[in-house]
Amino acid sequence: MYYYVEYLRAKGAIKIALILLGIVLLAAIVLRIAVHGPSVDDWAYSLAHSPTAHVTRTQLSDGSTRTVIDDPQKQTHAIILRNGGALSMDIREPAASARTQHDSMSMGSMNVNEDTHAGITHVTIDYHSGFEYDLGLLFLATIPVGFIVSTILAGPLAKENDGHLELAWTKPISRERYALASVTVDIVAILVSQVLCAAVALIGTLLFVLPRFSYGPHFGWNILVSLLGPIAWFALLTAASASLKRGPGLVVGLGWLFAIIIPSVAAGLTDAARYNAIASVFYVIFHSLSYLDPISYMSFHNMKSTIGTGFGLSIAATAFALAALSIGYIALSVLQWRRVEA
Amino acid sequence: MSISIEHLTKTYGKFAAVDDVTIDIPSGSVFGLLGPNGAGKTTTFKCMLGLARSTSGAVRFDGKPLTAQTFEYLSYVPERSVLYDWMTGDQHLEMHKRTFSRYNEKRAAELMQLFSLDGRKRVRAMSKGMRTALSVVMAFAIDPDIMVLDEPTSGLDPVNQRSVLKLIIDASAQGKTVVLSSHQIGQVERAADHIAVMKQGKVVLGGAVDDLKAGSKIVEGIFPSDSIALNGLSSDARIKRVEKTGRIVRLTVSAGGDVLARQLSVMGAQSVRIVDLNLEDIFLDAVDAGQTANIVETA
Repeated sequence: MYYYVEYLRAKGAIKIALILLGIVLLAAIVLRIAVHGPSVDDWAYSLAHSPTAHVTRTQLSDGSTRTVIDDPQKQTHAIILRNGGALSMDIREPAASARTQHDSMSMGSMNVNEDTHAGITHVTIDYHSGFEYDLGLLFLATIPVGFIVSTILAGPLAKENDGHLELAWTKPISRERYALASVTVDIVAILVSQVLCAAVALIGTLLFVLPRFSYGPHFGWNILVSLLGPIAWFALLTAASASLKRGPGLVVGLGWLFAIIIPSVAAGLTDAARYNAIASVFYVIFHSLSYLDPISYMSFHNMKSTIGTGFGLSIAATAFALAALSIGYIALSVLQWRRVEA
Repeated sequence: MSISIEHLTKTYGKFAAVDDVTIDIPSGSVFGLLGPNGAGKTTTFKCMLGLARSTSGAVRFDGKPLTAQTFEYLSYVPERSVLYDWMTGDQHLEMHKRTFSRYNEKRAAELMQLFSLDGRKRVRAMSKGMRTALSVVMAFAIDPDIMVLDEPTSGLDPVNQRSVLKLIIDASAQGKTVVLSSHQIGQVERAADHIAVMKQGKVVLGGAVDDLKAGSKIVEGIFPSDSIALNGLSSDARIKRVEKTGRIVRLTVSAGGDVLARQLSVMGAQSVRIVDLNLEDIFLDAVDAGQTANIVETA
């Protein structure tokens, strides 16, 4: 296991990811406890079973049940519409205070609106116990963690250049194999951190609601692009730093800056390039450079269906482009590193 | 296992850090590579081990060129610490254990104890001497046939320096080949049976220590005052070097020691003696040759 050093680095990065995810999960648990109280169903039950309430139930033609509750003593009027796991409530009751106010809240599968006016509070609740949850989108949540871990692990070869080559290169293993093993260990760590993040996102969701899991039209591609984006970013930083004599810190720091600036400048020059020759030259340069920047591919056009359609590419083409960039950058890293001198 | 360095040259631009170096290191020998700072010793080691690309020349281990597999039985202690600051001593040993098939865990534990190293300590918390000691432990724990040790006693206290020296001598007794560089010439003299002296990238002297010592003697005279006229001595072909320190004059001579001793007496020396050359004399003689008109005056 000649990649032991990289294994230790990867373990450390996963530990950092676990700490971050642990904090998020803890916050979700605290939030869940804080919002714990009678459920919407409990509320509907208590309204309907008040001794002074007059309740009318009607079966509608679409199979849903409409319950109208009138409670003259409590001055409460409620209409509850129930259709399978879906529940809609419209309640009017005396306000606790005379102040006019409006509140709304969305949490998981529940939307609540509350209006208080002229001493009357009007509450509407929409609740879907079995809302659809696209598992492909679950991996969207893993992208930030993937980028954090890939940035932490970026430049494994430059880390060796920073005064450790005499140890790395005096092992009974070729430089190419050593480099590829190090890079592979880091990529596995990035993937593991993203899978852990997906698990935490899922647990966090289940704390609040039991959804109906589904697979969107781009399920597999969404997952692939979510995983390939951070890997391509890691590969770019590794290639950019492989021949440095020092560690990759500067490249990692400037990398983020350039990765954001280059596509932004290209986008900013799009209109000007039509009228101005100089602007068009710069547009061509920055737009071309954007193709080398994995972050340019990670645009979120439609959060409900797909990600990674930068440059107007299809999600599949985006995945292929990110895979090609990853392979290209890793190959470039190894080629550069084997020529470095201690 | 023998090492053969043939016409090795390493240039950086127009500067030749190693200039046409040819050295043969016999199997089972302790070979001392000496030279002042910047002479090219470390660069020679790096070229030898493929850590730097040589401009020209070849290095062979038992007649074969260096490959990755050579490192299965070759260990290297670099001049400066190359350990990972964030790792512990034990993790460094674990790294070697997982990498080298010949790693000897028992031996590593013994050596850690010998140098009083705490394996749980991170390298960043270790002193320079402790880092050097850990590097030495790692080098010896893999039971190599060849050891390339660049300043292996740097930063060590005298007790640990002695321990390293003993390890080197023991390794040599077991038939291992040790290539050693050190500024502590006394240590090299104790351990090495062959040496080469480098100066400005070139090998200026080389051979078996006994052969190098055999050819020359030191004639040392003590004068009543420090105003000594050395006229004529520097032109004597038998004298390789004249060193004057206050009232003492030391002549490094290739022949005619008795005659030159009498000459010092005639010149007014109160006492004269003829002694064998030590490695420091050989080294200084080789390094100073052609640079100081063979008369060196020191305070």
